[in-house]
Amino acid sequence: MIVKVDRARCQGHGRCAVEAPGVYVVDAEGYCASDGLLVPASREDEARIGVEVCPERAIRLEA
Amino acid sequence: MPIPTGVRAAPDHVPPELVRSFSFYDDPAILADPMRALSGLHDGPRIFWNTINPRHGGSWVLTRAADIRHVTARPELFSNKGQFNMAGFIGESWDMIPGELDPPDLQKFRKLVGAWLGPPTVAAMADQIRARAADLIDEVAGLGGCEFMSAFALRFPVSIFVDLMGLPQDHAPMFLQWEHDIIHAPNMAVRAAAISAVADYLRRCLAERRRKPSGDLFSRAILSEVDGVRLSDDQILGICFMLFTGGLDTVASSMGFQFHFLAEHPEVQARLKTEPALASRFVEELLRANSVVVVHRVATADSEVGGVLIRAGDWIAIPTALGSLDPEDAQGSATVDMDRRAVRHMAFGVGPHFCLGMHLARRELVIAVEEWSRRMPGFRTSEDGEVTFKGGGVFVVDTLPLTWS
Repeated sequence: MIVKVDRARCQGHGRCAVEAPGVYVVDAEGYCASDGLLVPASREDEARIGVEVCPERAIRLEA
Repeated sequence: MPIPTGVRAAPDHVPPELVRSFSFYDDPAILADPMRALSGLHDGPRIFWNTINPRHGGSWVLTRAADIRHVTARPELFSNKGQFNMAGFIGESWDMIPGELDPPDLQKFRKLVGAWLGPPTVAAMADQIRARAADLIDEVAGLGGCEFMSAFALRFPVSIFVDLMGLPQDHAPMFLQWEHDIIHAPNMAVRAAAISAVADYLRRCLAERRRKPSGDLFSRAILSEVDGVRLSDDQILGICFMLFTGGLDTVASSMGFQFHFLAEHPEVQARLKTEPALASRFVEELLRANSVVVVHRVATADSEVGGVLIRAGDWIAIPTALGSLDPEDAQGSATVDMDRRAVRHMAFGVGPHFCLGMHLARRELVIAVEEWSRRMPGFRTSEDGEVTFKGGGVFVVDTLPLTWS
């Protein structure tokens, strides 16, 4: 599973890194910096939480 | 917020079946239960023209999360210019910054102000925020009850704003009065006088700091540059006014809804006492269930939203509650669920204008819940008063009488 972040949509709320800190990190300005991250199987559910909390719907997961 | 004008007929391009007259200020349903009244709008058209928009003389209202995302993500088509119109109300012309800026200035000023309000600033203030909350709670703890809004919810964020600005705490009651007049005074002259009073006060502080810099936010603003140019007095005023109006009634009102819920749910109070780490989850879920702010945009060109033609110059009202509670959204339930696995909402807005003060607001809200849970016995709403609400640009709990033993 790979994290895909739409950088044009991400506004830097930082909710992904707060609710799913085992998967997502943000850069110095709060934007999601986890685009392209390969998610280990053990963290796939946590990765989904990041998708669900994003107010901008900027994150999706690719198989 | 100022209320300059009343009802106006819908413009010709609005299909008659989409015209409504629903007062966000004083519709009886709003005054009885604002969030329920707003949710009721989901049963109507996905976008409608409201003839009652006192600030902008009539406006579209978006009811769906998808349309709210569409509009707020396109600042080139839907501008923030003049949405608060504080300056215009007193015959001046400065912008609230960054809330009334459009790109490219928006991004430049957000970067600047965002750095002042980011997690490091909030972390540095946390002990003081907690101490302010504790002091206010200690004042009422022995009384057996209080009117929560005036005793705590309104005073707490004002005291933090005053700390943030480096102003003396004994000026906090003055700001509280101005805030009340700007938002609630029925007399327009009183409102205008309060806006002028805040602007004059902030200008005096600014002039003092220009003469004698200190380490506070004014002084940081004075030394800051955008595009290599120092900020003007009007720009600094616009930033400070934004901090003032952005961080006071919004936080107080969110706190009001949260404590109203707690007062009616002793089982949640009990859980917060045994599991204090749940406070931030509680606050987030309650922000979702009670998103209090309405923001506005003005169309810069003709375009379609939700299948409806919006003309250049049309104002658009965006009640964030309608986005947070949209039943078409997976999380749109009005039911509060402390065990919801992921909480998504629009309480702080979406798009490039989302709330820059959210880190501070969250911290204040969580600390309020933590300190009340830790220091106080169980509380409930008192029969000696009435829980009342008010509408407007921010939906507020007006009075919340609490009692405990």
